[in-house]
Amino acid sequence: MRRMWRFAVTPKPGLGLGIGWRRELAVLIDRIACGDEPDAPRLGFVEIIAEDFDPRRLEPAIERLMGLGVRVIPHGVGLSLGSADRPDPRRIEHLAKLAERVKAPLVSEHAAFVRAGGLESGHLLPPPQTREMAEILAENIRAARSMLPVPLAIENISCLFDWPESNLGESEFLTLVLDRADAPLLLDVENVYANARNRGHPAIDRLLEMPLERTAYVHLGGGVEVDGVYHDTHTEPVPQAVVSLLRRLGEARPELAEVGVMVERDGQFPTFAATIAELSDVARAMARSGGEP
Amino acid sequence: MNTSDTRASLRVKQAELMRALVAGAPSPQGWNGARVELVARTLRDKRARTLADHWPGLARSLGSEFSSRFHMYAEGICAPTVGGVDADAMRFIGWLGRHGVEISPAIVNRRFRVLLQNRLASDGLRPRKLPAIKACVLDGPHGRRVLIGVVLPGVFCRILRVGR
Repeated sequence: MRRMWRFAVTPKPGLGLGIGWRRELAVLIDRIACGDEPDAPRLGFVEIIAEDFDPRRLEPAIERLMGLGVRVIPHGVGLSLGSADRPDPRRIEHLAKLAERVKAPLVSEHAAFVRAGGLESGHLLPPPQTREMAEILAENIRAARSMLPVPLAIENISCLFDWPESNLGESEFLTLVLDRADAPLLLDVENVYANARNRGHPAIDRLLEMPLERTAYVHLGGGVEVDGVYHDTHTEPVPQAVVSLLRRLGEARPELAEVGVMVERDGQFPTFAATIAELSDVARAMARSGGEP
Repeated sequence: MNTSDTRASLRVKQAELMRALVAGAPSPQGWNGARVELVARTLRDKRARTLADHWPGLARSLGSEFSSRFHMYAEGICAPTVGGVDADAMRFIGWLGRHGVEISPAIVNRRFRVLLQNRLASDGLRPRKLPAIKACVLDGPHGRRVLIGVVLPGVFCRILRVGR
């Protein structure tokens, strides 16, 4: 049943199963990577928050994972590619140096803005979904990519609001942006789920109309509903509805079977056993969608 | 396509929205005010969670009042842009003090250490570059103590306790 780790003999081998590296999870991640957790599925990669790491003083824990054959993907949250201004070259340089330091196969950021008018939101905010904005976002992505040693995958975000001037659907907007920027997609299935749920749309429809052929890897997370609004807080387990979307995605698009899938958790960390059970659940969904009878 | 004009108008609109979301400004024209307030509240909640993660003693000492106090503090004041969560904590503790909330000795102690190594700046918290001497009074369950801190950035940092 655990036959999910088939690496494609293509220029871009599958990343396998991954997890967002957080200090609170460091011990568990290390144990899984070493094989000290017999119930845990094999770990193919970890994602690190780029802004929290200094390429000149890399955490020994990350160095150790690299030595154990776990791949490391720097994930930016502060480039603000969806801002009116071009991304700060110093931030891009930081990401570039980190990518080199951890020998990353790619890096990622969001289709979002986090600063404007000298203020920081501390949270990913959606830009207006218009053709003009798509052009600006694509320009910003290209500017960043030109300074990076590896591809820059762009993640779809969860939106708690829409701009009054937005006149494109989420997938239409993202398809336009990624086509213009010629960039890969970091597909966050839970963000698609969150937006669909908050807008009263069928999540599977929204998921299947994303520019899936560009998918580099997949994010899964969990949130909470407060007063009828679902918030993508990453403080809860991945909802079963999201695991099931992952399974259906694999059934509908078998070519995505080799794509890496990872779980994100940012707070209220559960026990080791619960995290391992969640990873196994995701690994099973990946395996099932990978064409097993 | 020339995007410079679009960038200019977007810059204005994004700044206007950001002020409404994090700095207590009114909702921009054409927006659903209730939705903007919901998002503003969500951003403050996230800020509060981050603070509680890094300063658990502070959140615990306020108990069930932590969230409401934090929202009152944060409603008109955006998060400091430098110094991260410690900078927000320094400002929040200052706000609590001005609003008559008693700060526990453990928090006063921790704040003293942060402010010995860093200085409060208009945009947040910056590491000290110049030598400094600071003192503070700690009223604990076992009586009054005075802390005297001396710092020579990058070289030396000592805290002396006077009293029992």
